[in-house]
Amino acid sequence: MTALDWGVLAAALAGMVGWGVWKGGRHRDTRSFLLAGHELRSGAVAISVMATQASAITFLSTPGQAYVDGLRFVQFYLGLPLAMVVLSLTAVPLYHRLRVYTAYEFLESRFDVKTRTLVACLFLVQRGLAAGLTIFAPSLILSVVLGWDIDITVLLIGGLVVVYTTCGGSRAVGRTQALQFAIIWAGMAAAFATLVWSLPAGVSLFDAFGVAGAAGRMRAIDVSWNPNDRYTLWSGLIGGFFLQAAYFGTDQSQVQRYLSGRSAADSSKGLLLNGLLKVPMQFVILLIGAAVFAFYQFTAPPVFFNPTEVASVRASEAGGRFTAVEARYAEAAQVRAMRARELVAASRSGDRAQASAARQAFLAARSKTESVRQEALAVMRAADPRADTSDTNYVFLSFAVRCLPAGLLGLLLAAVFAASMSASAAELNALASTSVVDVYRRLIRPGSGEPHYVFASRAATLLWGGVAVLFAHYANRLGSLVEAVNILGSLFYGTILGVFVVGFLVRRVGGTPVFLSATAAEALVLATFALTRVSFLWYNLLGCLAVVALSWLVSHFSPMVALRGDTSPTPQANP
Amino acid sequence: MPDHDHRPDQLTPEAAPPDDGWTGLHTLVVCALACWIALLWLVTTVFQP
Repeated sequence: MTALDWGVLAAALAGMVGWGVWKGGRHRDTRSFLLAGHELRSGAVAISVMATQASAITFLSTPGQAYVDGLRFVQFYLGLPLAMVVLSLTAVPLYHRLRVYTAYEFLESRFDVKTRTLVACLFLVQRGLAAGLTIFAPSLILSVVLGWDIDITVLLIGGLVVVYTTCGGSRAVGRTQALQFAIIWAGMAAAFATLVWSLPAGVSLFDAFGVAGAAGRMRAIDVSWNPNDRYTLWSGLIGGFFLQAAYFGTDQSQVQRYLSGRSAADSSKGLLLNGLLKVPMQFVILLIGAAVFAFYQFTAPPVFFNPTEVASVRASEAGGRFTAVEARYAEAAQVRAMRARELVAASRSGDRAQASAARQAFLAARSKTESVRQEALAVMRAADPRADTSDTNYVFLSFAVRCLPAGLLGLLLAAVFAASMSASAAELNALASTSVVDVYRRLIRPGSGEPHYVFASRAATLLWGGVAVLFAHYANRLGSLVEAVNILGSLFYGTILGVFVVGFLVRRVGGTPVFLSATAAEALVLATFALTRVSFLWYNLLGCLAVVALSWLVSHFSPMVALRGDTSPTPQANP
Repeated sequence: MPDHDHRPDQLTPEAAPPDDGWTGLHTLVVCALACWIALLWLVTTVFQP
C-alpha cells in the first residue's frame, strides 16, 4: 500500500465516524435514539435497508462466489422483490399503526409475553453471532491479503462502529449509511473500471464474458428442481422469498431501519425501492466476479489466493514439492491464456466449427490447470491437514491488491470498511433496542424514565459491540463467508417467520400453541441441518410451514390449550 | 380473557389504514422482477458453452 492509499483510507474512516457523531445529534428519549425520531424519507430508508443487508462479506465474498461458481448466486435474491411487495402491504402498515419499537412487541399484543420473549431471544442469539461474523469476515480477509494483524482490524472496525452508534443511535446509523453506500459504490466502480482496463489489448468486456461463459461462469438461471442444488430459480423464488420475508419482516436490524421512516408510506416505498434495486445490484457484483475470472484466463493467477496458507506450505517440509507444482501451474496457465485468446479470435470469426474447436481446446487447457491446482491443494493438505483449502473469499481482494493503482486501492479498502461498519452499526442498534425494549424494559425494569432507557440503550450498544468483537476473535474456518452468514440466518428465520405468519393470518391460534410449535419447529430445522444435505434455503420454508402447521394442529385438536394464553396485561400501542 | 377472542381482529393487516394498498410502485417491482429473470435467462443463453 502506498502513502496515498493510507491517506484515502484514513480520511474515509475519519469522515465516517465524524459524520456519524455529528449527524447523530442529541437524544432525550428512546424513540429518538432507537428510531431516529421517524425522520427518514423513502430514498433514505431504501439506502439504509440496502446498506444494512450488504455487509463487507457481500462485496468481498460474492465476486469470489462468481469466480468459483458463476452467476448462479443471483437467484438467491429473486424472492426479495416479492417479499418487499408482501411486507409493504402487511407488516409495514401494521408496525406503524401500533407505533412499536421492535417487531417482537407485536407478538405480545397478538399472542403473549412468552412468545415475544422466545422470538426476541432467537433474534438476539442469531443476530449477536451474525454481528461477530460481520466484523470478523472482512477483518480476516484484510489481515490475510494485506498482512495486517487480525486483532487490530477487528478492533478497528468494531471500535469505530461502537463510537458513533453509541453516541448517535439510529440517526447516526442512517446518516452514515448514506455516506458509506457512496464510498462502497465508488470503490466497486473503481475495481470494475480497472478490470476492463486490465484486459489484454484487443479483448473487449463482451469477449471476456464469452470466455467466462465457455467455462460455465455466465450461467445465471438454473431451472432444475433438485432440492440439494443450492441455487436454482425455484429455491431462489420460493425459499428465497421466505428467507427475505423473514429477514425484512421480523429481523429487528431491518425493521428498525424502515420504522425510522417518516410514515408508513415512506417505509413502504423504501422497501419497494429496495425490491427494485437489489437484484441488479447483486448481479453487478457477481458480474465483477465473472470479469475477475475472465481476467485470470488471460493472466496467470496464483495457484492459491490465500497468501498465508501459501506461505505456510512453502515453509513446511512439502515446500519444495509445492514450488514445483506452482511452476507447472504457471506453465499450464500460460497455455490456457493462449487458448483463451484463440477462443476470442474464433468467436469473432463467426465460423461455428472453428469456435467449437477453440472452445474444446480452451476447456482442455482449463481442465489441465485445474488438475494441477488440485495437486497443489493436495500438497497443502498433506503438509497440514487443517489447512484452509477454500480461497473463495480472497479472490477479489487479491486481484485488487495486485492490479488497482495507488489511491484506488485505498478507496476499495475504505469501501470494505464502510460496508462492514454500515451493517454492523445497524445490527448493534437493533440488538440494543431488542435487549432494552423486549427484555430490560418489559421484564427486568419497567416504569423507569426515558433518560434511563436511553442510557440503557447506549450501554446495550456498547455491550453487544463487545460481544461481537469477542465472537469475531473466535470465528474461523467457515468456508465461503457469504454462505456462512446466510446459513446461520436460515437456521432461525423460518421459525421466526412462522410465528409472524400465524400472528398475521391464522386467527384462532393463541400464545401457547404457537410457542410450543415454534420450539418444535426450531428443533426440526436444526435436525435437518445436522442430519441431511438439504440446501439451506429450504430451511426457511420448512421452519415457517412447521410452525404454521403445528400451531393449527395443536389448536385444532387441543382447544383448551389454544384458549389458555398468558393473561397478563398486554401493552397498548406505544405513544 | 382468551387472547384470540379479541386481539387478532385488531392486529391483522387488513385492519391497517386503507391508503396502504397496492400502488403503481408494487406493479413496477413485480414487472421489474419478471424483466430481470428474462434478462438473466438471456445472459445464460447468450454466453452458454
